Amino acid sequence: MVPEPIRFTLQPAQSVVGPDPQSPVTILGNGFDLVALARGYMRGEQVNDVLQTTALVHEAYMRLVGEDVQWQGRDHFFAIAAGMMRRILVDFARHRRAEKRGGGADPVSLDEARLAADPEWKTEPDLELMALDDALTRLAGVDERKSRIVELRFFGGLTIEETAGVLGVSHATVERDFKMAKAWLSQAMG
Amino acid sequence: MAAPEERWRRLEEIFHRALDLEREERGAYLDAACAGGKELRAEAEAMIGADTGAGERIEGAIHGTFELAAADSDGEERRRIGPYEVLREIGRAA
Repeated sequence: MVPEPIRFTLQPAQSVVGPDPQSPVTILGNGFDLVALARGYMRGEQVNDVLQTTALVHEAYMRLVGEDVQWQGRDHFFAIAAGMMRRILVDFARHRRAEKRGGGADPVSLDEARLAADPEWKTEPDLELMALDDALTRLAGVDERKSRIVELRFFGGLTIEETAGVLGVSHATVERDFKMAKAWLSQAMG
Repeated sequence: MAAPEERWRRLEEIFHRALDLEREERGAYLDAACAGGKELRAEAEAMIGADTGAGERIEGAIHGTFELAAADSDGEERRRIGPYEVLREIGRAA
C-alpha cells in the first residue's frame, strides 16, 4: 500500500503558498493536483521513497509555476503538466547518458563493450525513454492528437475517461487512437 | 504516392482491420490492402507485430526512468525539496 504522497496543488498563475503547518509540504490552490501526475507513475509499481518521488513532482510544479502561464482551466493544465513531466524525464535521461559517457572514454567503444557484457543494455529505461521521446515527436508531426493522448495517458497519468474529457473526444476514439499510437511508437522505437 | 494524411489514414484502417482478423488471415488481407505499397505493408506489419506488449514497453521506459531519477536524488539533495528543507519524515512507502 502506497501512502498518500505529499500533495502539491497548483494555484493558477500564483506564487507558492505554504507550507501548511498540518502537512509539511502542502501547497493549496484551485484544485489542480500534481499528485494525479505522480499517481500514473506509481500505479502497479512499488515506490520506495515518497520523498524522492515527491521531489520530482515538486520539480514539475516549480517549472509549472515558473512558466508564468495564465491557466485556461483543467485541460490546459494537464496538457502542459504532462509535457513538463516528459521533458523532466527526457532531461534526466540525457544527462545520465552524458555523464556515463564522460571521463574521456570513447563513447562508441564504451557502448560496444557494454553491449557485449550485457545484451539487455539497449533496453535500459533511459535509452528507451529517449527513443520514445523521438518517436513521440515524429508522431506529433503526422497525428497530433495521438501524441497528446500518449502524453496525457502515460506522462500525465490520466485515465482513458479523463483523456477523453480533456481532448473533447469520445472514449472509443481515445481507445482506438491509443492502441494505434502505442503500436506505432513501439515499432518506431526500434 | 498518396499524401501523408491519406497514407496515415490508410495505415490506421489497415492496422485496426488486420488486428480484428484471425492471425492466419492477416497476410492475405495485407497483400490485398497494401497492393503495391511495400513500405506501407512493412509499416503495418511492424505495428501489428509491436501491438502486443507495446504499452508495457512504453510504461517500462517511463516508470524505469522515473525510478532512476527518484533514486538519483539521494544524499544531500534528499534533505531538500525545492525551497523546503526536510525536517522530519512523516512516512515512507513500503
